[in-house]
Amino acid sequence: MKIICGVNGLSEAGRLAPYADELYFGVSFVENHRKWYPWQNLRTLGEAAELVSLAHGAGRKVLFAANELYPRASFSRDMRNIEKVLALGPDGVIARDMNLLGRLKRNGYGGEVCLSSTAICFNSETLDLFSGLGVSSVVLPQHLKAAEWRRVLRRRPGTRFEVFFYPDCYCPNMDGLCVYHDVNRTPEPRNCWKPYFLGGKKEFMRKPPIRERYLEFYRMARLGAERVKIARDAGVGERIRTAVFVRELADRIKKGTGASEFLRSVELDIWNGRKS
Amino acid sequence: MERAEVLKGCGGRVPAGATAPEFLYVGGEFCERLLPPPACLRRLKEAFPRSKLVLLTPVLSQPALESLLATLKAGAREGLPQEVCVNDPGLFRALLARGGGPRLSVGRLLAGALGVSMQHGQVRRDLLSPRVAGIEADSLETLSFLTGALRRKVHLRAPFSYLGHTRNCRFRAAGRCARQCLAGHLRLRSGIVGEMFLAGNAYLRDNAEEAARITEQVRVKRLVLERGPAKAPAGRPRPQ
Ligand SMILES: [Zn+2]
Repeated sequence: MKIICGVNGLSEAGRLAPYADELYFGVSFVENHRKWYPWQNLRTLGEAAELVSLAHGAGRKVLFAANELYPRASFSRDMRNIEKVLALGPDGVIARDMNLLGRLKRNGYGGEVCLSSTAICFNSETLDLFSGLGVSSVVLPQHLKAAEWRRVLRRRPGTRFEVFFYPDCYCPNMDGLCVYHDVNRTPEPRNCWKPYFLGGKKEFMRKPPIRERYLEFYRMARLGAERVKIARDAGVGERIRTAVFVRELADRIKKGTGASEFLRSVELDIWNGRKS
Repeated sequence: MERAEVLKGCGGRVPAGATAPEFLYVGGEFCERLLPPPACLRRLKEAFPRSKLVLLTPVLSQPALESLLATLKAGAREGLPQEVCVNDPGLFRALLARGGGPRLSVGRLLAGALGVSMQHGQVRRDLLSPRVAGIEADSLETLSFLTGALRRKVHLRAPFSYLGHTRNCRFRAAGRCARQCLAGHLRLRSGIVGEMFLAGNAYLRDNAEEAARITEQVRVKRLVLERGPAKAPAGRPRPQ
């Protein structure tokens, strides 16, 4: 399993490259699901060009995130900007907008087209819809269970897919469909992690327990997940620590470690303070 | 304006005193476990012969998709349901491509997932198809995704708008669903939006005010009402 790591700025790319197999980035002039996190984007086309050559120089693949929905009013401009970035030669694009995907296909775009998790691809019909638009790999939505995805793979064997590292990256609500997340237009939306009150009692929106999230990661790896994504949210040091840790987990799984042994090893890691 | 009522699950009843609505929504937009078996659709059709039955569907896992397609196949002979409200992109494509069969409407989750891409290109062309009866909107923001001719297809949801939903439902444990799931709306207090509601696995908020403003901005094609214990504070406008 390969590790793909989000890059927030040119300066951190060199630090991340030794720990990740692949990198991905967004740019400030193309919306990319980071509307409220401007610092998670490269600022200029020049920076994007430098990042692409830096990644390729280090022997790393690099993907460009254009994973928003683009309105009619700005579509031509958005498309021009996206094509400018693609002309720099990244290895692929992460997207969800069907109009954008259709346009890339018509233009004969030859790189990897990776479907964003926000496209809510839960079944073979949705997979077919997006494959028809040129999608060649899929980032699985966080709420899709391995047992359910197995049923899709049975129908569409060989589908290339990627997962988030669920122990760190899991929204209590369905990603791609969550209004609450940034309903208040806050610059650092974490609404779904904040408590609410039910009859005066403080509660939190539910996630599966951490054990279960490690297990789901394990099961997805076993199903043949090609990549695991370390998102752009954490600081660069944290992303490097996570990448090192995830690499070890992936190696354990590859060696054929059983599920319960895998969980025990993770518990030990947590006990030793390697992971919260 | 067409009028519709949403029934909770399959065993739900139209509230006492209500006349059979023109459209009766049954199923679930947030949970595939609430999808009714064909027998339930038949039973409802017998109970409400004058209402058009709309099957409300969620984002679908592979097993749920396959069982839903089987339900639709079984119902096809009797013309049930008369419409499918779709929230899964793949189901939408499959039913639209198939031709014939029930009419379709785009549920608020799918409408949210398509967002501003509904304003142009192939996405728009698909939605303009006469097979597509309507597109749900439940807030001024979701209304803003719709432009031009699509504004004549607005299915307004009230009195709640959607905030989010989870597949880690508090009403499900040890492989079983608790009955409280369908019992109604739990009132919650959020530091972010103030009052909100938990209905099964979904978070909702009162949209009475926004719904009223939507009816001022567009000629709503269908009003889809969901009954809940939520009462709007006195003096606030509600769509009638
Ligand atoms: Zn969220």
